[in-house]
Amino acid sequence: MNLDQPHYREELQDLLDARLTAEQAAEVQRHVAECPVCQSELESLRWVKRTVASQLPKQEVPAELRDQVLRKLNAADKAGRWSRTLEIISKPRVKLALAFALPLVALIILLPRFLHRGTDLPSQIAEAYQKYQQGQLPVELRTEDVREMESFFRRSGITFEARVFDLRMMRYSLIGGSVHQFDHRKSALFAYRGDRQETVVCQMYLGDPLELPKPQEQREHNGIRFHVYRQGQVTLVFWQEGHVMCVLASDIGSDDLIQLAFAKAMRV
Amino acid sequence: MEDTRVRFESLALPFMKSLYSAALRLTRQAEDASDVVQETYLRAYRTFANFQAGTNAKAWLFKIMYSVFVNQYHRKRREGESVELEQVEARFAAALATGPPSARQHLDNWGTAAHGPEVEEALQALPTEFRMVVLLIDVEEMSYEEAADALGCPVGTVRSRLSRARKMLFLGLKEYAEKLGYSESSKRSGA
Repeated sequence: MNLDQPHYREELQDLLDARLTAEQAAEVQRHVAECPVCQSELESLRWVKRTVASQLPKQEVPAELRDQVLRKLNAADKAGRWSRTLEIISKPRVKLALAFALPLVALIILLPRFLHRGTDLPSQIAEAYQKYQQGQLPVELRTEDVREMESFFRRSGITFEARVFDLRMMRYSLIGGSVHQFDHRKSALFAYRGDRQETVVCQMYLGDPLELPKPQEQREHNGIRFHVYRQGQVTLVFWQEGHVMCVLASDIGSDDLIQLAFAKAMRV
Repeated sequence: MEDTRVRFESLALPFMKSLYSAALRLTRQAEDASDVVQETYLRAYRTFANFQAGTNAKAWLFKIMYSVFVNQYHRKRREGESVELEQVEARFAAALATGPPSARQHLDNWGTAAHGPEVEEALQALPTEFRMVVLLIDVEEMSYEEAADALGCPVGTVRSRLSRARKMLFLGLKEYAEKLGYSESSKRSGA
């Protein structure tokens, strides 16, 4: 404080909040005792401090907040465990061990598929189509009802969602279907008859386009890639929906079959 | 990891009520306040390795909470606020100049009656940075240094903001007292 400023300012707050040394506090208090202006200001500030501390309403914490916080911490723990797993497998020794072990495991899993008859997937699908045409592959369920067909597949141990197409708008009626076995895997096989007695057979199975040989033709439509094969008179059109491979097989014209596939494929 | 989790919960969860109260007074929305608190605990847990045992956990959590609030919810200061702040000192001095005892008389005459809503409203009328200083120091009883650390500003800034905030609160509450009709005459009549 000086002669130009006869009153204390923030020193009053410092006194109120016990931030002065004993000597400084004593000096300010001596002044306050003799100065009504500073006394008034100090008392006003003291009143505000006391009122805020004592009169602010108590807030109720929402009952579910604690659980919400704990859930977030649980998620953080889970993420932390995965992060530590990644840390472990990125260590040089672990990487080296995995580099030897993984190819061996892959070979053990994939070798049987490569040994089977020496024929690729398009050939096997085409073979199934021919057998169906020759009456050597009967359907287990005869129905025109798409939902009934889907329900049959679910009950019959097909572990993926077999989406049976409704092709009535394209003039094809569902005949029925079976659970088919090829290449050590189960497929959902269902057949259609066109209004000119054409046959289209669809199969769905768990797989990946990487298993397929190089196609004769590739098309892209609505962000989906179609792999086209021709085996004699039979055209096969493969595409992927999530983990499921879909294939249409028929001896109708390639373009007609491809258009059918375009119409029914769904991007997952 | 379980040990870390147990240590964190025992250290941090007891402050949930304080954090929520402050978050609510900052965001003014219960849902936003809950989000701020959840994010605060998540960030605190993720950085728990940086927390020095034995230091002020409450100040540490409030620092995180304020950072979450500023990053996600804080709106820019309204135009004209700086002018209003400059007028605070003048208005406060004028309020006291009407006769030092009478400036407080209205307030003293409130007696011990509860005026929580009015105090809350006066607090909410403060700009965010000023409101936060009052919450940390007058409500949560932190030191100036802890408040400065939580707010990411110098101690001097905390000091001056607190001074202005308290004066603004005084002016706001004085108005309430006058509206309610508390006056020297009420006191004389024994009302």
